[in-house]
Amino acid sequence: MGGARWDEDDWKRTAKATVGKRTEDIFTSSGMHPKLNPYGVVRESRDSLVNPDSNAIIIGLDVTGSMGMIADAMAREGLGTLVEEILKRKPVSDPHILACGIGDSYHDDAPLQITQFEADIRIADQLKMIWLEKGGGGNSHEGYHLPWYFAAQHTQIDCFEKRGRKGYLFTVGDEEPPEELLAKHARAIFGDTLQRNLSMAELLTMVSRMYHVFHVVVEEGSYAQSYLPRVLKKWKALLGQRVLRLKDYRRLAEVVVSAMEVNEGRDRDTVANSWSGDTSVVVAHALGSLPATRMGALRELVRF
Amino acid sequence: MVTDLSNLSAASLLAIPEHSPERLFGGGADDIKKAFRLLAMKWHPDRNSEAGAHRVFQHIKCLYEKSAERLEARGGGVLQLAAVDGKHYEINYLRCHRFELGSMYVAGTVAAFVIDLAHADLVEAAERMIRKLDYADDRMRQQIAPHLPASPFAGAFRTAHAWVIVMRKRPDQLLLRDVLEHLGGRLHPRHVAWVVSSLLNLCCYFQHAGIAHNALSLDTCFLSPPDHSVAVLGGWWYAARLGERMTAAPASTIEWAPHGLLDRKRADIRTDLELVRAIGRALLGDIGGSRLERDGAAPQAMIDWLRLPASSSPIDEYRTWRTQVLHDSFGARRFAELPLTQSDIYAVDPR
Repeated sequence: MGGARWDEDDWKRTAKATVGKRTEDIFTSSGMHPKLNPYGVVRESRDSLVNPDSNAIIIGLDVTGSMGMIADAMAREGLGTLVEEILKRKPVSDPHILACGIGDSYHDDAPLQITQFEADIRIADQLKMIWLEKGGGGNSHEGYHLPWYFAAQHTQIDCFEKRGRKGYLFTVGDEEPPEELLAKHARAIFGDTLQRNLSMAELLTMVSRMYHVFHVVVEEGSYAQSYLPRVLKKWKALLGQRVLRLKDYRRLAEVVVSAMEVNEGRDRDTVANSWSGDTSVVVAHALGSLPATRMGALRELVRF
Repeated sequence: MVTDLSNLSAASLLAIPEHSPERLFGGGADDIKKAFRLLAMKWHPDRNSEAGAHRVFQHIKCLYEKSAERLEARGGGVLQLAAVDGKHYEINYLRCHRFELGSMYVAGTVAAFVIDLAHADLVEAAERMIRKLDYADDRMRQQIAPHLPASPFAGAFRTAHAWVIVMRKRPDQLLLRDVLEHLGGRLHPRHVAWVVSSLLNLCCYFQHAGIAHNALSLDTCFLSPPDHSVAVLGGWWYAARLGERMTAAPASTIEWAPHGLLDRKRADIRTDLELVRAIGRALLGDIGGSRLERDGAAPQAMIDWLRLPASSSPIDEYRTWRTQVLHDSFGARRFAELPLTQSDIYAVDPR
C-alpha cells in the first residue's frame, strides 16, 4: 500500500465534513471492522513511482475510555497537519502512515485495530473506520505493546528493507505500559504461536530493529492526571528520553513531527521555536531533553 | 548473483538492498562491468522512456559502485610494518577489511589488526581479557580454546601510527563476511544452523568465564567448514566482564543489541545472544529479519527463533535451539558438508 500522493484538497473536503459533527457521527463503527483486524495479516509499506523513497510511520492511538478524543482530534485536524507538516518539513520523505486503535488486551473485544500504510486520503477514511470501543479494563495499563509486536512481526517496510532506514512508531495514551505480552494474547489477537510470554524490554528489542519507538503520554487523560509521576517513571524506564509529554492533545501531530525532526538531527530548540504561539510551548514541553541523534551519525564506533 | 539480468523487473531491481550489491553484481571486475553495461543498456534514461527508469538506473549505478568498492578492497598484498623498536614485519594477506578502529588483514595463518593509536586503551583491555580467559578443566580448554584467540598473541607491537595485533588462525578458518559475500549473500539454512550452534556454545562459555564479547558479527567471526565450528578472533576490544561498565561498542552492536544497552552501558550476555541471532539472520540474507518468511529463507521454526528476542540464559538458549528449533526445522541431525576452502574464496578473483 501507499501508492498515491497526499492531496490537500482531498483533506480539506474530508476535514470539512467533520465540522459540527459529534465524535460518534465521525467514528460510526460499532465493532471491529474486518479490514482493521490484525489477525494473521501483514502490512506493507512499499516504494512506488509516486513515493519512491517511502518511510513507514505508525501512530498507535489509545481508544479506551475518554482517550477517543485523540482519534477525534486527529480525524478533524491532526492527520492533515501531520502529513502536511511532514511533507513541508521533510524529517523523512514520502510518508506512509498506518494508524492503530489501541485497546486493552485483557478485556476489550478489539484490543488492536490497524489500517493499511497509506500515503493519501485513504488513511483518513480508514482512521474513521476504527471502533472507539471506549473499553479498558480498570487496570493501570493499555495494550501499548500490541503495535510494537505487530510492527516487529507483521510489517514489511521498504525504507528498512531497501535502505536500512528505520520507520517510526509512536504510541499515544495516558496509562502505564503493561508488563508483558501474554502468549495467549498473541495467539488470540495475531494468530501467532509464542513459546512464552514476552516482556516489554524484549518486545522493544524486537521492534527497535526496524523502528524508532516513541511513546506520547497524554497528560490531560484522566489516569495520567491522577498518576502522572508513576506513568512517566514506568515509560522512562523503558524508553528513556523517547517519552514525550503531551499537555494539549490537539497538538499531537506537531509533537510527532517535531520528534521526528529532532531524531533526524535537527536542533531541539530550533524545532520547538519553529512553531507559532502556544504550539511552540507544547512542543518544547513534549521534546523535553530528547537528544538530536542523526541515524546517519550512528556509524562505526560508539564510546561510552 | 542474479544470472538473467535482462529479465529483471524494475521492482525486483529496486528491491535489492544497497548493502547487498553482490545479489546483483558478483564475480570479478570484468563480470561486474559486463553486468552493469547490460543493465545500463536497458535502464539508462536515454534508452528507456518508462516512468521510473531514471530511478532504477540510479539504483543499479549505486549497487555497481558499491560492488566495485568491495572488489577494490578484496585484493591481497603484502603489508609492511615498521615497529617503533626498529623491527620490520611483513604479512602476505589475502584480503583487507576496514573496521571501526583501523584495518584487519586476513592471511592464511594469521589475522592482523592494525589499530589507530587513539584506541590504545581498547587494545590493552583486549589483551588483558584474552590473557585471563580460564577454563573449568582440560576438557573445556580443549573444546573451547581453539575457537578463541591464543595468548600470547602471535605478535603485538607498535608502529609510529598504530598498534598491531597478530592472531593465529588456521587456513581453513574463513571470515564470515567473506564467506557470505562469496556465496552471494545467503547461506543454506543447514550451514547457518551449525554456525549458530557453534556461537551459542561459545556464549555458554562466555557466561562461565563471566564475560560478554559485545561484538559478535560477520566481521569478527571465522568459520571452519571442515570442522563445523566458529572461532571468535576479532572484536575483543569491546569485551567486558558481566555487569561491568563497557568502554565502547561498534555501531553494529548498538544496532542489534537489546534495547537499553546504551542507557545501561553494562556488559550483559544478552547482547551476545542477540548478536548471534543477528548473525543467523544476516547469513540467511536478511539481518533485519522481516523478509525471511516471505523469501522462504529457512524452515519456519528457525525463522521464528531468529526473529524473537533472546532470553538471558545461554544454556537455555542452546538447549532450546538444539532440542526444539533444529529438530523442528531439519528433523534428525546430519552433517551438511560445506565444500569451501581458502583458495575458493580468496584466489578465484580473476584480477
